[in-house]
Amino acid sequence: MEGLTALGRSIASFVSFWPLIYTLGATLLGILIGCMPGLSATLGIALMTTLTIKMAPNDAILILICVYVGAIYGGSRTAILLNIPGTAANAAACLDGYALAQKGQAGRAMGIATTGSVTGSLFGVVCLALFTPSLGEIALSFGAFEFFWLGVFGVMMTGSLTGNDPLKGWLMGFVGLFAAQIGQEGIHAFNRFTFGNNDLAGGISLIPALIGAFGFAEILTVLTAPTVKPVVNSVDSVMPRIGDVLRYWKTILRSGVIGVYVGILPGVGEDMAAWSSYAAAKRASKEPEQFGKGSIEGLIAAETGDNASIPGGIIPALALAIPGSAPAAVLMAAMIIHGVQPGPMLMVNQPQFVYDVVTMTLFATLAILFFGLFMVRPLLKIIMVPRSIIMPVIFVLCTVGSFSIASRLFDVWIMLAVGLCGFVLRKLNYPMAPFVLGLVLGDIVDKSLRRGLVLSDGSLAPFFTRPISAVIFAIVLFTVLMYVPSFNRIVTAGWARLWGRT
Amino acid sequence: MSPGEEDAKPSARSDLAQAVFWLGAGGALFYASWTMDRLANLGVQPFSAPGLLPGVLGVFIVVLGFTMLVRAMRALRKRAANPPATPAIEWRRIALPLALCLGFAAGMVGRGIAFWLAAWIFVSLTVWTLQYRERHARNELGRLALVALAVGAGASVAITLIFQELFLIRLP
Repeated sequence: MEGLTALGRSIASFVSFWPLIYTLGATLLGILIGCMPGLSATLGIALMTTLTIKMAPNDAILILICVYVGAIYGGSRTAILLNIPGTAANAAACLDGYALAQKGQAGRAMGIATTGSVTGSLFGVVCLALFTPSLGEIALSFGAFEFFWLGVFGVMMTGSLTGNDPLKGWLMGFVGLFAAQIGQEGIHAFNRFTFGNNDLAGGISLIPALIGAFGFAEILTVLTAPTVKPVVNSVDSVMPRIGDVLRYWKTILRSGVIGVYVGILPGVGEDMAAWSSYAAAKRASKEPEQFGKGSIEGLIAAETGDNASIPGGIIPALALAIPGSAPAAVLMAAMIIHGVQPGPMLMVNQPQFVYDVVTMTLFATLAILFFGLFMVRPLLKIIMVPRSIIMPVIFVLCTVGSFSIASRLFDVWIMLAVGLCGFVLRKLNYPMAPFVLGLVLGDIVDKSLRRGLVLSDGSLAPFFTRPISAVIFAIVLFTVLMYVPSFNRIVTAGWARLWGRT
Repeated sequence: MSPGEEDAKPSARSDLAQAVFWLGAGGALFYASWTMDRLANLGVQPFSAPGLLPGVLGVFIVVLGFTMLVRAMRALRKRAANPPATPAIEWRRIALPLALCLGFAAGMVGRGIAFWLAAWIFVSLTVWTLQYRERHARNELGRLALVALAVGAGASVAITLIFQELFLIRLP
């Protein structure tokens, strides 16, 4: 009841002229960002963080959440019309969305994508409202030992699940953790790896590093790719058919649950949510042979899954200060810049903020419904703008964005350095998401390890014997061991025997 | 996975070189952490020393680098008869956009040139460069010059106004 009252208060405070204008403007901007292949939700939020830095915290966070939700939704446009996912999260939508477009049903596909995105987001919003306060309460009992393992868990899970090679994913996670160690550390104020440079003593700022990793690196990738002139398929009616929605309610519900679950897993992100939902829908479908050939069920599953994972990713960011995805990591950094301290104490110090975030996500969801139904044709024009025009403009924004966080040129150089390294590493199949999560979690992992050791007088035992620590450690160990072929064979065989008996 | 995609993956030989790099980087990180001031003169306990986590990370990077080395050597032995092509990063293709980006961000911004002018020059020059071959073939270089200048001017004015005047953000 107390939660409902707080939610009502939040909704009432956002139903006024400027918040509604911000919602519509930022969601539209997010959709445009999502529509443009090469621009990710992470980059969009990072750039908007710099633009909104002087705004009131609630207005700034509202804009960022709208850009986030809009970008993930907007990526489905190009997936359906061009077979090019606007963001990584929409790759699964290409399979059936483009097949439908080739059959002359692009409008229907976009209607389905809108329905899936809206229902997925709404499901996620409900979970966000229900689970964040409960998780925050549980997290109040966490100490340094538990937070250390949560940080390690986040980096290892991201390394395992993003990209094709867990070894490279883990390496990127460790590099991110190391990058976070550069600068003045938080316990003894000692300068680490600064080589006497005063700028480095301030550490590597997250936003310029992210703009480099997801902006400059992506610009270089796009500019080296061969130019393909987009051919947009004709668009029929985009109004979703009620029959499609009712027929696949089980798929929507299942994908919503999977999306939120994958979203909560630290650092895993929307693309994995979309693929997991798609795979689960295919397994459960009565027409699995239609998947990849224009299946409505496949498209609805992918789009429900990726959008449900957005609120899912915000849940651990708010309750544990451990983001569920790369865009959620930037969102969390923006919250900190605006004076909100995510983590277990958030429900104690600023409980209303959690419900404000629920309301912001709800408003963003309603805005994508509006734009999805009424603004399809004008939005298609953005797809036709050549990359050779968009990319230089985006690079100027990346430069301004990196500079404006702290008004120092050093951050522009950080953006360039991380972007160049990111470009080379991506070409060598190293995923960037573990690096981002490592950079975000580096501080918490370092402080928790050393504080834990001080509390235990140098003993490692509490890291493995406290119940929650032991469980998280076991999951981390199991995840790593599953990539050892002999262990994997034993577990798989044991699992098969167990299922064979029951 | 199609054969084309298989070819696009970095080869075992490339992984071998990366493994050596990671072994070196992890080793260097461990050494730097080990030799880092442990602040014993301030009464800091060894397990709270600033180099603890970086040192642990160095060890793990070495372990992962070694695993990659073993994996790459096994793969090399298997594929010795028919090694897949190593996709090189096309530096020639990337050189010009990269030079333009670095020239703008590291060479022009914050070096006394007005930001709007620097942005105008950069965007116009980049649009011209990226579209040159296509427009040259169609004999549209004059039009390209106009388009490039207009896009550059529009972008620089819009970005300057939005950041500096509307959102009160200081530009470099």
